Amino acid sequence: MSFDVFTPAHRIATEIREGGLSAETVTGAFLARIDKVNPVVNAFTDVTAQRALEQARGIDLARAAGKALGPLAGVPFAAKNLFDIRGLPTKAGSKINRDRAVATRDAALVERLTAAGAVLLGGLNMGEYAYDFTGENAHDGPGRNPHDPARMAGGSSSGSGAATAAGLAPLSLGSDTNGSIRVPASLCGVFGLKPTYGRLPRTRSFPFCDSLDHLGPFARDVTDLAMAYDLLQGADPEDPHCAQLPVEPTLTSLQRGVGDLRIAIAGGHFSTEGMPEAEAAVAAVARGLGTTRTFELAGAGIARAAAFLITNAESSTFHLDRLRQRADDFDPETRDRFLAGAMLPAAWYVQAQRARHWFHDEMLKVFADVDLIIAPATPCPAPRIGQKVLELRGETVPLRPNLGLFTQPVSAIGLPVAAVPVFGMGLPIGVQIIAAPWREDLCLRAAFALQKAGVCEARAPGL
Amino acid sequence: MSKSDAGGGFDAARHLDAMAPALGLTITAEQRPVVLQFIAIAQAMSEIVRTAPLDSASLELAPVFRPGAPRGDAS
Repeated sequence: MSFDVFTPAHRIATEIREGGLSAETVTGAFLARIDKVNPVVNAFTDVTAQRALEQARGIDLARAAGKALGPLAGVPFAAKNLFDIRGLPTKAGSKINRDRAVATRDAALVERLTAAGAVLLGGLNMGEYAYDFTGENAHDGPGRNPHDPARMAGGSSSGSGAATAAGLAPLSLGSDTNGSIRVPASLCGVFGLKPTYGRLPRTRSFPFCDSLDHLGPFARDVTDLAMAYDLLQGADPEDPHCAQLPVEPTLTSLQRGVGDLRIAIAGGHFSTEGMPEAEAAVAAVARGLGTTRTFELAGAGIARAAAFLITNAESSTFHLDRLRQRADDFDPETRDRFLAGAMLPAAWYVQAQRARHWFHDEMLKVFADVDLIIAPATPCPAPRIGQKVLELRGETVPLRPNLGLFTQPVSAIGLPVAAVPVFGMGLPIGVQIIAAPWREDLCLRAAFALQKAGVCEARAPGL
Repeated sequence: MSKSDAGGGFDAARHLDAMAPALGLTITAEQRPVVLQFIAIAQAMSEIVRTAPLDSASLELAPVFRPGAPRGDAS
């Protein structure tokens, strides 16, 4: 039976539920696709084929027995390898973590998708310990962009962006501390959702920076993204960071449109002057959402600097023993930043936390007058693998930190963001749709409207 | 922190030479220039952060701490 691996997840689930497809056929098709395409894009580091096939056969048996199926029954997904996957050591992109005992239980979010019937295909490549925007990894090799394998997938959730874009998994899970969902979503041309800080539980995922770590889904279709997000929601007693909020479904309001929303384009720090692809993408999204209003978003540079310091200090302290004992086993591209971060004066860190709080309060004033903010996701489409510098507003700057120029101030204060893909003349580039805390529903409504209007889409690569 | 506490007087190399042994870190000759570069970037970021107009009577840090919440198994 032929099966198109680019079929949206919600349609796969419907076909399986109605008997048009078996879950085993779908899982087999994705495993075959991984065999063929993963050597090109290097998205998967671990394929859990046996587990996937066993679960798929169980779904088919359940259906044959007339049992109710979960909303994502038979839909394959994959998770960045910082999520615990039962039976595997949680690598978090590192060499050092391969010595850890295997996980005895899946991460909470993997469990939630599995409980909804989704079928885990494996663990995905990522930048070491998530300290990365490029997707390059000295241990597992670089994540490669499905639209041009000589280019970066973006990081640190490189495998999540690449696997979803390349039709290796219609849904994937990633993490975002400073942009690690939004950067690979932008470079790979897929949709990504970074929910509000504290919305989704991080239970049994390997940490990077406690103050800023978020988890969230990737998809090629906005309905799929909303479905997955709704199923991922809910407090977890094992995660004190997770807000004690009930599930707030977004799928039901997805098609409501944006006619009643006040939408503005962020200027100042988010100016795209001298960045033609980002400028064109922001303009296309603004047109699609019917706005020409631009406003100066003051303080974003301070928020970015605060996020830099908070990340550097917390993550480096977390890894201090590993830096003392096994510095040579780190990826050199992350090790030297961790070594520097371990030595930061406490005053810089505390001041950064205070500044973060200040910017949060300033942004709440902005949201009194605006429902959604449009901002670029990255300054450019996917750079070439190995590229070290970037031309930015007429200056040559280091590439690694500057890929997160536009994402970092937003996650610094935990705002929800949908990254939406725009395909111009060549490579895709993403745009951020940002809302006030806890208003993921508005981000997803706008993303759906843009998809419906044909402004944003996740095009299949020629692989 | 007052505006006069930091800034121009910061010397990344002296800072590294004092802090690395205090923390039990070994910085090789190969790593040293890159680590110094990152310390300098962090110092520049701290200068940007210092421009935030903070209330001098407010100390409200963001991290979540919820006494009494059960902890997960770290395995």
